[in-house]
Amino acid sequence: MIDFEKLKTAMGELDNSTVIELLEELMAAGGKGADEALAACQEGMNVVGDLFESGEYFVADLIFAGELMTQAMAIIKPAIAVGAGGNIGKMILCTVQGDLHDIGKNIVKAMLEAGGIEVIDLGIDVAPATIVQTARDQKIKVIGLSGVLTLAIDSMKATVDAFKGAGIRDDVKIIIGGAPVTAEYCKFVGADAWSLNAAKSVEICRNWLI
Amino acid sequence: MDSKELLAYRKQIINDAVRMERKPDRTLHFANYWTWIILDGGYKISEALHDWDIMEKCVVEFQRKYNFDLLLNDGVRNPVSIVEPIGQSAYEIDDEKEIMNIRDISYMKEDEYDALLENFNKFLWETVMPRKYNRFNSELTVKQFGEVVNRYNACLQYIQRVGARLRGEYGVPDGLMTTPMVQCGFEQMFNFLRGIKGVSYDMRKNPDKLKATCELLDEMALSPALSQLEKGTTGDSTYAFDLVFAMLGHTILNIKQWERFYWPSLKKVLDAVVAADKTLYIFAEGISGRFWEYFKDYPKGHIAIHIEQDDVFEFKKALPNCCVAGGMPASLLGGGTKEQCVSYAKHLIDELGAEGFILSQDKMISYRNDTNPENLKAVCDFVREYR
Repeated sequence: MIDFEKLKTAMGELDNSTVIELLEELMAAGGKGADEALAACQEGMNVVGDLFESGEYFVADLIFAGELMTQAMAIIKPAIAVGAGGNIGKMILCTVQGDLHDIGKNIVKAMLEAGGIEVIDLGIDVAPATIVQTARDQKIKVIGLSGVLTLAIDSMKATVDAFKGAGIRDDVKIIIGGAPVTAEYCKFVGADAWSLNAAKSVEICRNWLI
Repeated sequence: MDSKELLAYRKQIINDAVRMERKPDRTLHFANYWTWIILDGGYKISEALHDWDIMEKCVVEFQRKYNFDLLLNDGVRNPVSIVEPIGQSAYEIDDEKEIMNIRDISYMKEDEYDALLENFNKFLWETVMPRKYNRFNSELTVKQFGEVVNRYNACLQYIQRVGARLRGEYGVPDGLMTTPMVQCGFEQMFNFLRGIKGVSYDMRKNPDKLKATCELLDEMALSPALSQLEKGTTGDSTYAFDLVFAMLGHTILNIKQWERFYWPSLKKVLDAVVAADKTLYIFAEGISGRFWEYFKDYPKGHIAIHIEQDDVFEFKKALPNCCVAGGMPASLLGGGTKEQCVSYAKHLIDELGAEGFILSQDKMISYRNDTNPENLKAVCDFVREYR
């Protein structure tokens, strides 16, 4: 059995070689303890979030953390039991129509998944109708809209309006995030919350889902 | 004032605002306007980016309508048409939605540092160029490459032409995009070779080679430019600033990464500017406040920093030695009323004055809804008249 505390520490310190080495060792031994390893990785990602909040880590660290978490998941996925990872619910995440930036979205996605949220990633340049349809079809109650360009604000508003038009605005909570987002723009868009950092986004979404 | 007098007047108040030795006649107003200029001119983005005559019309008409003291963009950013004969993959323009996106593409792989460090020019021409331009390969003809050269020359002619018109007809110094500009090695890796994701991985997995590459690129590009600055050969009279530095890569860096990969290069630039008694305009994208303390010991009168998402009032408290540009929210220009916009501009000027402050927009204004033209006109008219 691997040392889960060491795994958590390595994830928090973004020590990729130790994380990969420990997980490969676990899988080579038959995959026993994969659920605990997933939990350790998630706790390590919480440490990453805390270090971001404290100012020690910044965006490049979150990009690296997201990639490391993705790699870790790929290694242990075959041995993880269904329902492991403390899954608290599903949400939609995407970059809104007209915007092709995915780095911020992917950072948030990795942090959300580490926070026990199953993410339906609709990708980039996603039309409001697609988001509404997915929410309706899969009964999703939390929507995350990302964007880097200032025009993303208009697309976010169009998406919120599309939920209103479909008569299901009150059934969902919508959070917006990305470089141009401000409190004023949140009001303009008609979203329920806004965030400029991944850790805060996770906190908000978890509170909505629990 | 005729345009010649206006040009001299503008250069004087720019100098006064940055040098902070005497009070400028009024607060300056710089245009942080980009593809919005094209849309406001009634053209599609792709039309103007493929026709320098259209771009000239848009830029000159923009200045005629709004009468800024300086344009950060005079139409030469994103000259996509130049390289089209050899292929182009990073830009995506959608005229229907009035959008231009630039993809974050890594043209260099993480295991290619040794090849770059061994022979940069060979690596650039044989490895990077074919990846960046999909027709840059053994089938490329001299005629095709000649077309790139012709288009580049057309761009240079445009720069001469639009600069002469802006100076001659409207009394505006050359825009920042055509002022001498330096870029540090990290920026080249961040913007061109490895991309945002690539450098984020490399700072963790390959820090020594990334550092060595940044130093090599500094030696090749930064050092010669700073040497010219020291010799005093930079600083053509058509420019409002002696040098421009675009800070983009800092937006992803933590403090330790900044100190290792970025600050040593930027410090060289700042030291050279101060030593040569020149002025520098830094465009600091996104949030930069966590790095302000690195600028605090430089003497007053050399550095102007254009900030975006940082608080302009906090900047002035933290760095009284530096001139700050920015403050005017795009959200207000796009969604507010004329009265709200003018009132906020007045508030900024009343609080920050003219010495060490340049009013400008807090985002690179690119999309139609970023600004209501009537709001912009009202703010421009107000700032020019207000004392």
